[in-house]
Amino acid sequence: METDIIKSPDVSRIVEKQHLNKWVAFSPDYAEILAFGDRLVDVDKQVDGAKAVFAKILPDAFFAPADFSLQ
Amino acid sequence: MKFEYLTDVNSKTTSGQSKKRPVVEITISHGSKSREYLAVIDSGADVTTMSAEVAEVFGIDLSTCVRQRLLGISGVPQDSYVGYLDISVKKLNETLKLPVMFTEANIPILLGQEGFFDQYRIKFEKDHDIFEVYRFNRD
Repeated sequence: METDIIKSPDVSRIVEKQHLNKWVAFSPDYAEILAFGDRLVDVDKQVDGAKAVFAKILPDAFFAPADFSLQ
Repeated sequence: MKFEYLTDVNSKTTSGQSKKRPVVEITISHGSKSREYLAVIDSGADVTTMSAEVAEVFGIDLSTCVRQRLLGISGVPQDSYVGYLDISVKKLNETLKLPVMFTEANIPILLGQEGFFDQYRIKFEKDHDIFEVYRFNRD
């Protein structure tokens, strides 16, 4: 029996260099970025209760397990 | 449930390809608040780990949490605090109360071994950009 595969969100069209290493708030359909910034708390406040999906956009770097030296 | 790896077009592999990461949509709830996030499934993290800013969003007072030392591969210790959050993975239709390490480091949400991998079996099938997450019964 074929198992359904959950598609990953396609954020490639809307995430730009300016969003790297920032917190962003995506619209629930991932069509746009509602807010972004250095601090999650600020981004959360900017969306002011609107439905959103928050994510930390990783910089263009290589990550090993739990390497927190890159900030 | 099978999930597609998330393609990160802004981050390249050593061979110049877009990186792919095992990312799921999760809902975190605490008290009356609820938020949706993207989280990386990280088999290298001992426990689910996230920025202390997530605790701040949910009004969790870190001074009331147990303090722990968190070490990365760099060997640089980070002050961290243990809390608990209700977390559900989209499409899995259940909520788990997971131990969470809140760290001062500004990192993505990492779903780690203690709690998450204890309760879900994870199969990475990177060769075709799929990973599987499913509940298993220890009994």
